[in-house]
This record gives sequence, C-alpha cells and structure tokens, in this order.
Amino acid sequence: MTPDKDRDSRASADDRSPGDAGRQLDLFGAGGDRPQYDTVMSLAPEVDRCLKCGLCRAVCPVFAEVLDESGCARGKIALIEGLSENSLSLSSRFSDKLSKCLNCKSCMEVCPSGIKVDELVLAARSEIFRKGKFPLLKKLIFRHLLRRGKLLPPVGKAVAFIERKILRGLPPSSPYRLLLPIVKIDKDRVFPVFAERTLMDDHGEILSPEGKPRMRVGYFSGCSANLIYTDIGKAVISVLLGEGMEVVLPHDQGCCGVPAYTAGDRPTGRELALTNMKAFEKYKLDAVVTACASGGVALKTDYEKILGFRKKALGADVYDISEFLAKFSRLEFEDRHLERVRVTYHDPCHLNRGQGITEAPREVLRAMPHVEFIEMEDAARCCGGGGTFSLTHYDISKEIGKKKANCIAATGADVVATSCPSCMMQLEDMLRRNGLPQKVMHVIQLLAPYYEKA
Amino acid sequence: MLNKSIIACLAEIAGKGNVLTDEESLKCYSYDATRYASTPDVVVKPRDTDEISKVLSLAYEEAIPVTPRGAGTGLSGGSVPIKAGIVLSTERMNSTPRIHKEDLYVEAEAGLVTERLQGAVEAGGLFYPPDPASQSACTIGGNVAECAGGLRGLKYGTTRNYVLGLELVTPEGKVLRTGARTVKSVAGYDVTRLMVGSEGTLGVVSSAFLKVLPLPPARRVLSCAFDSLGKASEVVSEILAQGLIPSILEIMDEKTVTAVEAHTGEKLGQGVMLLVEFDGTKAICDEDASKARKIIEGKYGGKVMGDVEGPERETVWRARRAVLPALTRLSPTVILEDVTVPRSRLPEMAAKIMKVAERYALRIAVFGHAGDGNLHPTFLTDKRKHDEIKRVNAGISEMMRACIDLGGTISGEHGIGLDKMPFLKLEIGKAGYDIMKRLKVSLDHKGIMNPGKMFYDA
Repeated sequence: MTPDKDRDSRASADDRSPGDAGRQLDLFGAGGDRPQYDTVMSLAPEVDRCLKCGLCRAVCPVFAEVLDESGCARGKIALIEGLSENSLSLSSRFSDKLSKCLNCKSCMEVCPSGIKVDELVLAARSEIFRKGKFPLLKKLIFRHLLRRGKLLPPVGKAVAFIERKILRGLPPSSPYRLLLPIVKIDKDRVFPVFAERTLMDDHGEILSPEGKPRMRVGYFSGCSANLIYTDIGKAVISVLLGEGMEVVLPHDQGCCGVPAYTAGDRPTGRELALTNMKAFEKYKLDAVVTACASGGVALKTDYEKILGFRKKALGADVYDISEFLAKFSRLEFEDRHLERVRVTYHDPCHLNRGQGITEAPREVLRAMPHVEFIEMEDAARCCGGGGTFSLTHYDISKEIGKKKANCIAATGADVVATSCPSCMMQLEDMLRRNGLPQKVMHVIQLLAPYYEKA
Repeated sequence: MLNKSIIACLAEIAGKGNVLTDEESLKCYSYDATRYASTPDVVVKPRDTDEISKVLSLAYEEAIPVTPRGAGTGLSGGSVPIKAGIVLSTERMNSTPRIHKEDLYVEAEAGLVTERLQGAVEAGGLFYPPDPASQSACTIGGNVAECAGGLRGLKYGTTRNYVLGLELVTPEGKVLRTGARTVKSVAGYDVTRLMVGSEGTLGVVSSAFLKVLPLPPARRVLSCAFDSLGKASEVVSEILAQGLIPSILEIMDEKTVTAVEAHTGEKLGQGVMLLVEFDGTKAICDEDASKARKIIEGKYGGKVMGDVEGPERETVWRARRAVLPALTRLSPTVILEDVTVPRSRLPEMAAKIMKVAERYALRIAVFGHAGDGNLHPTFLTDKRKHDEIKRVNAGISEMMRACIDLGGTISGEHGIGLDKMPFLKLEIGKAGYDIMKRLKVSLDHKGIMNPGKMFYDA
C-alpha cells in the first residue's frame, strides 16, 4: 500500500504517529486516520446540539452522588462549550471536572438529541492530555507500563509476589496498610490478586478441539484474564474448544488501550490498538471473542470511532463470549447435578449500552440447569467501577457501588454474575466493604463445568 | 464581582464546598433549558431552610441579586441569573419526602426530584398527578415556582391545584409557613397561590405541602388517527361536550407523527393522532373508552389504532415522550411555544398556527395537551440563519396575539421568565401589569429576587 501523502502529513501532526507499520497494513479507516473529534474546535457542532434539557441529571450515577451540575453530561458539555468559545481554559479544575465521568453512557440512553457524550468527553480528555495538565504518574503508567506490553506480565508477577507474601499476611488492622494511600489506594480496599502464572504461560497460541474445527476463533483475553482472573481465560478456552472451535490465542496481544485513551492518551491508545490489530491480523480468523466488556467496545467500536482505525479493526467480527454462544451454541446442557446456585446478573455498561447486549448473558445463565436466575433491581445501573475511575475517585465510586451492592443483596442470590472483569473488581470490593457474602463470577466461569470431561 | 468578605460569609453559612466561585462551576450554573445563559458571581447550595434564610439576609443587606434554581430544566429562562449575583441552588435539599397518608398530603423539600416524589407516594398507593416532561430531573421547588403542568392537566390540573401550603423564605430572610395542611383554609390572603408560579421573584420556596390522591386502580388508553388537525380538534371538543373527562388527551400533528416514527422506528398511526387515556376503576375506564370510541369513529371518521391497558400503555407513552427528541433531530434549532386557549377555540388556534407557518414560510410542528387547550407549536429552524429567525420571531408574535384574541394565554405551563416578557403586558393589560408590579415591589422592595424576569422594569 502506498501511503497517501495527505494522510501522511496529518498523521505526523500528532505528537506521536502510529508509525509506518500501520500505514503499510492499511489499517486506517476510510475517512482518513484521524478520529472524528480530536480537537476542541471540531467538537463545536456536537456541543451545539445539546438542548440543555437536563434529562441526563436523572440517570447520571456520578451526579447522583456529587449533586453538582458539572457531574452530569449537560455540565460537561457546557464546560467543553466554554473551552471552544475560549471563555474557559484547560485548567486543573477543568481536568478534574472532566475526569468525573465513568463513561457508563447512561446519559446517552435518555439524551433527546442523541449526543455522543462518550466521544465528547474522551476528546476533551485527549485535548487535556495534549495541551493541559496531565498527571505525571498516569503518563508514566500509560507510556511505559501499558505501551510496552511485555512489561506488564513481569510487573504483574512482581505485584502477585508482593501481594501473596506480604500484603496477604497483613491483617486488616496492620499499620502497613497505612502505606497504601501513598500510591493512592484506599487502605481498606479489597484489590485483585495477580496470578502467579499468566494465561499465556499455560497455553500455546493455537489450541485445537477434538475433531474437525467448526470455526477458527481468535481469543482476545485482555489484561485481566491473562494476569488476574486467569480462570476466566481458562473457562473461555475450554468452552470454545468444547463447542468445537479452534482457538487462537495470539501471544503478541496486549492491553486493549482503554485505560490510556479513556484518560486522554490517544497516542498510546493507538499504539496498543496497532499491536493488537497486528497480533490478530496475521491469522485468518472467522471471529474474535472476548470476555471483557470494555475490551469488546474497544475492538468493536472505539478503535474506529475514537482512534480512527478502520472498521472491523482486527480483521474479523468481534463477539462478546455470551453473544457468541447465543449465536453459535445450542446452549443445551445436561444436568450434571452441580450444587444449585441462585444467580443474579449485573449488566456492565460497556456490554449493555456499549454493545447493546443484555439478553445473551441472561440466556446463557438460564440455560444452566444448576442456576436459578433472579433479576435484580437496576441491573443496568453502573457499579461505579469505571476502570481507573475507582482509583482516582474512590469516594464517589464507593457510594455508587454501595447502591449496586444493596441491589445485589436484595435478590438473596448466592452469586452475582457479570461479563466484565473491571466490574468484577469493583463488585468484589463493594460487597466486602458492605459486609455482604455474595460471590462474584463471570458468566463464563459458571458455564465452564458443563464443558469438563464427564 | 462580589467582594471576598461576602464570599467568606456565604462559606460560613453553607460550608466552603457549597459556595462555588471558580469559572468552571459558574459556567455550569449559567443556563436552563432555554437558549438563554448568563454567568453568576457565585453559586450557593444551602442544605436547609435556615441556610437559605441566612443567605437571603446577607443578600438583602448587601443588595445582591439572587436567582433560585432547582434542576435548571425550565423552559422560560426562570433560573438564568441574568443580573449575575447569587445562584441559589436547592439541589442538595432532597431528603426523602414525608408522607401523611391519613391526611392525604406529603411534605417535600424544594430540591426533591418530582419523579422521586411520585415514586414514593405511589409505593403507598397514592398519586401526585403533576407530570411535567422533565419530571425525571426537575424539582418540586422549581415546579412550584413555575407552576409546572404536564399531560394530566385536563382532569387533574397543574401544580397549583396540589399546593396546600409552603415553607417560604422572604427576600429579607424571614421564614414563614403559608396555607394549611388541610383542604380548606381561608385564613387571610392566599399567599400560597401568590407564590405558586411567581418564578422566584418574591421569595424562595424551601419546602412544600402537597395534596395527594388515591392512586387510580386502572388506566386505559386509545390511540387514534385522523386525516386533519381540524377534525382531531373537533373530536377533542366533542369528547368533552359529552361529559367525558380523560386523564390525558394529547394531540400530535402529521409532522410530529412522522418525526416520531422516524425516530423510534415504530409505526404509530397515520395523519394526525390523538392519545386519549381514561383512569379510575376498570368498569369506568371501559365504559368511558367505549363512549369515546363511538365519538372518534363516528362522523369525524377517526380510526382507533390502539386500545391498551395496564403496562402495555407504556408503548403509547414512549412514543409520546419521543416527540421532542424526534423533533429535535429535524433541525438545528427548535423553539418550543406554549400557547393555551379555551378548549372550544382549539380548532381556531390550530388553524391560525398553520396560517402563520404558511405566511412566514416556516416549519412548525404542533403537538400538545389538547384537552387543556395547551398546544406546543414547535418552530423548526436554525439560529444561524438570521433571516429565518426574524421570520420566526414575527410568526411567534402573530401567534401570541391570535392566542390572546381567542381568550387564551401566552404560557400554559412554562412561565414568563425571560422568554415571554415581551408578551406579558399584551395579555394582562396595563392595569394587570401594574398590580403585579405593586405586589413585586411591596414584597421585594430592594428588587433582589430573580431580577430581570417577568417585568422589563424590575
């Protein structure tokens, strides 16, 4: 592919262009390699469409806690308006207010004008990253830890070691817990434990089912299923193999990029996206599956809409694991006489509003003979996790999470199932924090026993 | 700009975190749901009546303008701080409402969201009928100040009909209770009624005692199609003339129906639509619905497209709620009007609107609460096209005059605020205007309460 001259010059206008590899592979969108909203000026028409009706106040989980107009979408849009009219600047207060958004997309469901609030907020954050005040610690994490995909597993292992050998030994009352706030982690927080062996340590790249494969399916594990919740990864692999799929787990894949570009660091986001696109591109895949809701939105939508890459960035259709099973599995399971469990389901924002998937995971849950499914109230309300939001705004996150924990408890369920590792971290922390006993599981973890050899 | 010592005093009253002076926050409290905006000097968020009282005493002493604000969802500019000063936001005053079931009233703080109040009373088998379109976000304080209406005005009236009494803070900062907790009360002037719809120009409502009704056990809704706006509005008159009082009677013209269908992707009907809901016992709903059906399908040639009860009604109301979103997508700027005429004059008003659209070459979609004679002619335009905006303004003026000539009012439920100021005198006359001004001056002689609203010269 010959690089387009015009495209070239615009790409290099960025502070870090995605590099030659991207152009050679022709991975960019037909509209050029620039995302729709990259500068504040280009946001003006979308901002202008806001009627200021304020209906977003009714559904915004952040607003419900902070009770301040800047919490809801209308306030943030007004701030962006101020920026594009030059009445406001990229001050640290501006950044702080723009950071108080979970990207849960609740406002977009009720917005009469259908404003793309998520794209607006992320674009404003990108502007802050490029020109404004961006925390150095975050910059370092994005640029060095996430971008160098290879660095994350060893760091994760080191953390696993520290957690197992040191923190685990710390009683909840230990004075050493007081050191946690230094790295901005609440001292009472329940945080996930890194696995000693990663998913990729234990699995090759090409995994074959018994007999002739029905399809060739790529598995995008995401960091959490590779480094923390490796059980999710193992469950996905065994279910897919059990369904007669050939599973491809490219070891070159890395971070989906969501934490970086959600915070505004699009250059890193683009590099991470490219790494993943190249990792999957080289296999001729019939489909790509993920069990990570945010990763799914990234691959399905954001790579194109936010980062400016081509449609179908990985070269194949992407499915959430439940969506995939609802489409390609008969979902008929013989009773294995597993212990009966009462299960409720939490809709991750990025599966529900992000990908429009609510029925498939419920269908999968209802298909399991040992599961008694109980719907919770406000199942689609954000849990308050929001990825790094729960680290940077733990006070708000805790209050939102408490409401979710209460809804879970009210069902009397033994297990809360969901489809997003990021939600799982938050739900675990919130349930423990509120003294509730429910277990948190990914839908696929509940399903995996049905694919074990009898 | 206010000086530092005033800001410090405010911080002492409401707490530092509830007094906002940074330009980002000021921007966020500069607007409501109209196209007006003006930046305040400070935003104060009191927690209770006592704090409101202290803020007002200070403002009174220093002669600082105070603009009360609920959720900023108003449609006339009422909460826009046009003279800067203090925006007094009640959003933190949102504690759980106190329900007095035996006495059929509920006590709600100003910042309580209307929908939360409705949910709370419904859980106890009670019913608070006012249902402005913004009910999921707007607040009781704002509803009282603007006398909010909604779909159920025909049978149940508006906010005005539910306010038994108020807790009120005067511009000097005095706290008083108006009205009573009873259905009957004639103890002196009806200060409560004076405050309802006063748009924050006379004082601040800190909480309200609101009448509630038993929740109707059944509801049934007919959606019907007509081939002209004229026929549909004649049916409205006929239904009422026959002694039927629907709980909701909504009208949508052809433009609106088409827009809703395009927006929701669901087939609604054809031509002009009427949505007619009855509530009460099941027997009454059924009887009324069948009588209405006869009128609709009789000489006016209407067609009943849907006849649903219970939770299925939601599909009909979802379409109704989609009206504004749908119209919004048709043009860059949407100007929503609020003309209201005696019900019998509805066909004439509808005809006049069509004539205005033709004469000024404008796109106007018409929907509204036909049962109350309250129409929302919606001008689909583009604020960047100056020539067209001139024609829009001329059209609005002509429509307002026609509405007044038909014995109607320039605003059914949105208020005067900034938006309808040019037309107020037109409707109430010089004597009417003067008496309002005298009330204003005697209750707020320093003119600190929501200045620049309702009257040009106050």
